[in-house]
Amino acid sequence: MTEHEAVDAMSATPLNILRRKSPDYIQEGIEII
Amino acid sequence: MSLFGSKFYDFYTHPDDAALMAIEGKRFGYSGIVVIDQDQSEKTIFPGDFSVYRGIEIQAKPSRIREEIKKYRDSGHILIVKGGEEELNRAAVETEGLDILLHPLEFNNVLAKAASDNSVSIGFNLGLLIGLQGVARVRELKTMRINIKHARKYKLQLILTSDAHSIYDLRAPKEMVAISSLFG
Repeated sequence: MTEHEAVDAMSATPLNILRRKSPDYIQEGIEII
Repeated sequence: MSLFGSKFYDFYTHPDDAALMAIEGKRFGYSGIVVIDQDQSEKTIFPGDFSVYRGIEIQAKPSRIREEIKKYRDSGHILIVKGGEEELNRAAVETEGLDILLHPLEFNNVLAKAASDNSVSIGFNLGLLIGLQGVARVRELKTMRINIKHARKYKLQLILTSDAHSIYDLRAPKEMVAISSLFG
């Protein structure tokens, strides 16, 4: 895995998944659980 | 590509103490973690500027996977299926609503196409590599090489996880990048 792919795999992809779950899901600093 | 300026997440952790894991995660440079199958008490205190999400790991026979994914897909939580044999992986990637198929043991072009159609990300469990030795580690590396080959062909989204059960299993993003260079 290239460095670019690895960085995306820990940042871009997780953010995409979180956005897909719900537009209101990302609230940095606020625990969602 | 610089590691700085990105927000990092570990999407597969199983801490006994989620608050402690969050504190260490933040110290390592993460912006958030996904805690699998735990309902946290409302009194749990997490550090500021750090997000903790809930993930659900779906464990079922291949014939039941579809029903289980459908049951949880509107829950708002991150849905993960730990990959295995082809039949299980196929049932998982063919079901809309799954977020991550983690470390499938048997993966091929057909499954990759289905994962692409249903926006299922392919997870690479680096904690497994760290924990194994010798022939077992070589076997997992080989599986990961095959998986990434198919994932690249269909431009699947990739996920790196540490599978941390305690703060001592957690690895900083730079270490994760270094380990991931081992499989292609």
